[in-house]
Amino acid sequence: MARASAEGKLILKSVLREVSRVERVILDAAGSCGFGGADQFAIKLALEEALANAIKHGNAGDASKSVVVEYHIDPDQARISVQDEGSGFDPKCVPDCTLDENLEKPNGRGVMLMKTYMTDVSYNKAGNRVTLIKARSESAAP
Amino acid sequence: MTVDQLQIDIRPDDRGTVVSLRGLATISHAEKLRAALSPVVQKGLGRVVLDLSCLEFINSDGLGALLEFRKNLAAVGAQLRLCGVRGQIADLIRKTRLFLIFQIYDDAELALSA
Repeated sequence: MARASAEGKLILKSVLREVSRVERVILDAAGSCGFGGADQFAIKLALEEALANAIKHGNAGDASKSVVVEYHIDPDQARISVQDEGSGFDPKCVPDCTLDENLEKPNGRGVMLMKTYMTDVSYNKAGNRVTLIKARSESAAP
Repeated sequence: MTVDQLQIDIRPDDRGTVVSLRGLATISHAEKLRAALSPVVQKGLGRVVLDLSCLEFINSDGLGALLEFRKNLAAVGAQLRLCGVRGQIADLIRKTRLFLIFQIYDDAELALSA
């Protein structure tokens, strides 16, 4: 039986090994709220991309800086925000990784993947907090 | 999804090399993946097949490692071929349009013999 909702706030250091702990908490909550396999894949992917951007780019890998993750998940949707301590960036300035001339480049796909797999992706004005929203797929109903 | 583990098996074949990825290629595994693939490039033997049939997850960093692998193999005259691309991984390859970059076969046998 799906849980009514789950929410929380997680603060992690800017080190990659912290990512799996955060993912586990959020994916467990999503599972409890009825999010199935394809939705869990999408949330894990978008969350990894958001956390990688926050740790590597926003906080420049400085372990003394923190990343704050807030989530609210209910049976209709998952809303997750990821904020770093960096000066932010303009997501409109990220090159389109699906253009032929960019296909062989090994990086630059994170923002595209978040937008593709989430129902909605938005940034705060500073560009250092991304909010991911994933509506639960009908096929994943408990 | 299973626990966050990535298993990398490398099997020499008289027609080339088969590299099988099993599990989840998460943000924590990108360096492990690059380190495991590097010796395959150094051998540079003909066809190299990357079997993704047991891969459950890969992120953009993992995709980047595969693209670097392909490029490094090409630099030593070897070819990278993917096989077993299905489910969520196939969807990811389609959405990123990387099917235009990688040669993709149904299974390792076909990839080695084509």
